[in-house]
Amino acid sequence: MTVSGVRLSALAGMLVAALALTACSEPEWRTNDIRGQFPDLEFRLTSESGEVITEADMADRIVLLFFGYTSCPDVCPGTLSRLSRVMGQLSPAQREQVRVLFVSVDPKRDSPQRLKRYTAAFGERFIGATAGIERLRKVTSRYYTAFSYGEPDAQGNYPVSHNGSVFVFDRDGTARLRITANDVGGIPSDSAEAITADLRRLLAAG
Amino acid sequence: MKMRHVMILALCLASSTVTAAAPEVSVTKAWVRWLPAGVPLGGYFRLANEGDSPLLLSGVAGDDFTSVSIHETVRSEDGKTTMRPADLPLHVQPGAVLEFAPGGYHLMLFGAPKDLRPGDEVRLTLKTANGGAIPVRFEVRGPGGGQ
Repeated sequence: MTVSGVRLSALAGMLVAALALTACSEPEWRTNDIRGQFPDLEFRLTSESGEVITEADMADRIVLLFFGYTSCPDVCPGTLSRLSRVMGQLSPAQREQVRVLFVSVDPKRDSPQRLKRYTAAFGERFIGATAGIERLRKVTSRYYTAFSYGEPDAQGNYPVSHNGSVFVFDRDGTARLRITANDVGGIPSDSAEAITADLRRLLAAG
Repeated sequence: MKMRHVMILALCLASSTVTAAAPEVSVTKAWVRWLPAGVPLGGYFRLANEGDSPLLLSGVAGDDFTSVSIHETVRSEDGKTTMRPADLPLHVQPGAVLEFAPGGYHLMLFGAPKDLRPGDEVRLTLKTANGGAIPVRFEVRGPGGGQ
């Protein structure tokens, strides 16, 4: 078999290009990379202290956004406690740059006062917020999700369907990662270690 | 690990003809996730049917709470998660294990005592379809107790 000089150089060129690509490509994120797929952080809600809270209050912070409700004894505290463990693995200086925004999609039961007491159990950088249904619909649909209320039982308690994912935004408010921090139906989720590693990477990116 | 073997107390109130030996079960890893603000709490445990006949878990009762029930967390087709009352009874074959764990089956506990705190213990009774009662002590843990 004969190989012409042209072909050989073309082959060598491709090889160099392939090597360069390998060297320059970013390593994989351990959770789900959503850069370019989700809109920037933008919301207008009522915070757990009863004041208006917007993305401007999160300026220069890495934000972990989670939609849930407090009358949710399984998925919501499971997710928040895993995030609490992640926060515990960061240094105090790193932790100061991160906020967990727990948005209740159940404003009927979740008053700001109740949210404040609830989020305090997970850490001081956990902030509760909620709003009227219309505003909540706006912010959830912005992140391609929704919520709905189930039938109340004899005591009037009703379940709320919600997205179990946590959306992570960098300091510029750009959507970067989607985390699953609970094991619904036995489907493996992102471990505290994986989440911590990705947050450290985002923090190091400046 | 605390192992607690419990014999089902066959409450043969309706029938005096039940002569079969009560099935034996062991319930371990029984804990309740404490949360503040009076929100409902989740309870978890691992039940092993060590007897020779199927066990049908039909419900739960407990005087420490205003209302207790068996729920299940499920993921819908569009990726949302939701809770629903479990389809009872739950069948546990001889030698099989039924796990109540985060993200799946859990006890839904409303109206916990206001002074309940991590480190406390609560008592609940698991009920079987044939009228059996399995008393279980649950350890109350902090919000991150399961991980």
